[in-house]
Amino acid sequence: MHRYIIKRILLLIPVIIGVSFMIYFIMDLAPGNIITQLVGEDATEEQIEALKHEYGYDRSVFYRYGKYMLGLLHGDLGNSYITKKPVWDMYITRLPKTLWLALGASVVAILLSIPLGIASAVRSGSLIDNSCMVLALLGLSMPNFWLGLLLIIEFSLNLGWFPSGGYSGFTSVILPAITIGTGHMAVMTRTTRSSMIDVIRQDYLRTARAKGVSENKVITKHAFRNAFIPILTIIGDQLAIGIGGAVLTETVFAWPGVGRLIIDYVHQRDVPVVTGAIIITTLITGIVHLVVDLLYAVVDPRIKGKYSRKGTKRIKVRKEAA
Amino acid sequence: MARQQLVSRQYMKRSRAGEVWHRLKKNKGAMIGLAIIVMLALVAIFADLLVDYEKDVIGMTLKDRLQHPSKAHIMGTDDLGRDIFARLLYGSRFSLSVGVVAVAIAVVAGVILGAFAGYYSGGIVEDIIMRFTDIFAAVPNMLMAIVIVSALGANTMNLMISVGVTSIPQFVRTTRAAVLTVTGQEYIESARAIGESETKIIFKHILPNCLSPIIVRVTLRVSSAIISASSLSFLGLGVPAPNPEWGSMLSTGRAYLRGYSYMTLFPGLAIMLTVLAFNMVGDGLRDALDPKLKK
Repeated sequence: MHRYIIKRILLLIPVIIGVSFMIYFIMDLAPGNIITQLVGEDATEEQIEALKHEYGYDRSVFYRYGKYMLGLLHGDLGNSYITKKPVWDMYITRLPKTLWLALGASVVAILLSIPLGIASAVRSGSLIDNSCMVLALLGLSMPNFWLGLLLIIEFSLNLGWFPSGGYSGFTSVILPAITIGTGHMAVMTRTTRSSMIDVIRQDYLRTARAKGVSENKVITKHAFRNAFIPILTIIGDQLAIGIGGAVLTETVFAWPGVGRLIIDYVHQRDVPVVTGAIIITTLITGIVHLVVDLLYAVVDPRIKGKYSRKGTKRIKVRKEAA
Repeated sequence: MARQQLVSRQYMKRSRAGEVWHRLKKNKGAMIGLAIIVMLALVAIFADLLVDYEKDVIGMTLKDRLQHPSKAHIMGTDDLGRDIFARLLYGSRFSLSVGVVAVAIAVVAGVILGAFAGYYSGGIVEDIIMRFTDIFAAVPNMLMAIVIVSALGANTMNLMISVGVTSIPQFVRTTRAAVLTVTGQEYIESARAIGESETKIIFKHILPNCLSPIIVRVTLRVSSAIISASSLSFLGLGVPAPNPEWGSMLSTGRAYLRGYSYMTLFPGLAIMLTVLAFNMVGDGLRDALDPKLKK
C-alpha cells in the first residue's frame, strides 16, 4: 500500500514537468509578450533593452524555462511579472474560496443525485425514473454559466435572497455552488442509476431478501455499497475539476477564486502566474485522484490486494460516465 | 416456414449500418434530437436567406434598443437595437461549425494516435503517445483551452483549434482501448499472414471495427465542444464582436440582467437546445450500436 502511494506520487513528477514545459512554452511564445505589455508608446530603445534583460527576454526561451524550473526545484514558483508578488502567495489566498465552491457543489450534487439515482434504479422505467433521466439530460445540456445567470436573475435580482456575486460569507456560496452542482448532479444521477441497476439484479440481493433483510436495508446497505465505486470515481473527478477552478462560474459570480486568477493573468501574458497556477492545479488534481483510488479499498476491501501488486496504473473501475 | 425464411432474409439483407439505423429509429429521443439537428443545420446553411446579415444581424438601430419581446421582435432587441431572434438564427452557424470542426480536428488526430498506440501496444510508440496524452489530459480542459486560445489570439479559427486540441486525449484513449480489443482477433492475424502492410491492417481491418465507441464519443463530444466554444466566447476568448455567437450574446446580456433578462434567456435556450439534441442522439446511438448496454 505504501509502495503504491509512493509510486503514484513519483509518477506525478514527469506529468508536472511535461505540463510545466507545455504551458510555459505556449504562454511564452505567444505573440505579445510581457515586454510589449509593459512598455509604453514612447519607450526608448534602452528602456526596452533594459526590460528585456530584466525578464530574460534577451536570451532564448529555453534559458527562461530553465531558470523557472531551477526555481521550481527549490519550491519557488517565481514572482508575477505584473504584480511582482510571489505566485504561491497569489494562489494560496484564492484557494480557500475555490475550495468553498468545490465542496459546496459536491455537497449539492451528492445530496440530490444519489437518492434520485437510487430511486430511478429501484423503480426503473417508472415515472420517477423517466423524469429523473429527463432532468439529468437537461442538466447535462445546460451551459453552467447560463444557469448561473438565470439563478442571479431570479434569486438575487427578483427575490433578493442571495448576493449576486463576490465573496461575502456563507450566503454568497449558495448560488455558485448550485450552479456548479447542477452540472455534477446530471452526471452523478446517471452514474448512480446505471451502477445500481447493474447491482440490483445480482443473486446476493435475492439471497439477502430471502433471509428476510428489509427492502430498505437491501438497497441502502447491500446494493448501494457495491454500486458505490463508480459513483466515488465521479465524485473525485468532479471535486478535482472544481478545485481546478470553475472559471465560468467564478466569472459569472465575480468570485475571487483560482479560475479567475488564471483568466485574469492569461491576457497579460504573465507566464509565471499562469504556469504556476496550472502546475498546482494539476498537482491537486493528481492527488485527489490518488485519494479516490485509495478510498476504493475502503469501500471494497477486495480491491486492496491490487495495490500491493506491481501495478501503478489507476485501478480500472471507471464506468462510462453517463 | 415461408414467413420465417422471409424474416430472416430481411434481417440478412440489412447491412450493419442499416441494422443500427433500424434500432435508432425506434428511439424517440434520438429521433427528436436528430430532427432538431437537421433543422438547426438547415437554418445555419440558409441563414443568409432567412436574415439579412448587414441589416438584421450587425446593423444597429439605436432607436429600437432594449425592446422587450413583442410582435415586431419576438425575442426582443439587444443594447444596439438588433433583433435577437435574427441574431440567434445566424449564430447557429458559429456554434454548429465550431462544434463540428473542433471535433473533426480531435477525431483525426486522436484516432490516428490512438490506433498506433493500440496497435503497437507494449512498445515505445505506445509509451510516447500515451505519456503525452496523460500530460495533456492532466490539465483541466477548460484551462487548457483558455491558454491555447489566448496564446493564438481570439478568433473563430483559433477557437476551433483550441477546443479541438483539448478534445484529442479522449479520442486517443477511446480509440486505443477499442483497437486493443480488436487487434487480438483472429482475422487480424490472418490479414498479417496474407502479408498485408501494417498501415493497411490498421486503417482497413482494425479501425472499421472500432467505429462504434468512436461514433458515440463523437456525438457526445460535439455537444460538449459547443458548450466549451460558447463558454470561451462568453469569456471574450472566442468569436469576436459583432458576430452573433450565442456565448458572446450571453456575455452582452450579462450587463443587462436587471430588467432585460430576455437577453440572457434566449441565447442560453438556443445553446441548451442544440446541446440537448446532440446528447439525445449520442445516447440513442450508444444504445443502438451496443444493444448489450441497453437496460
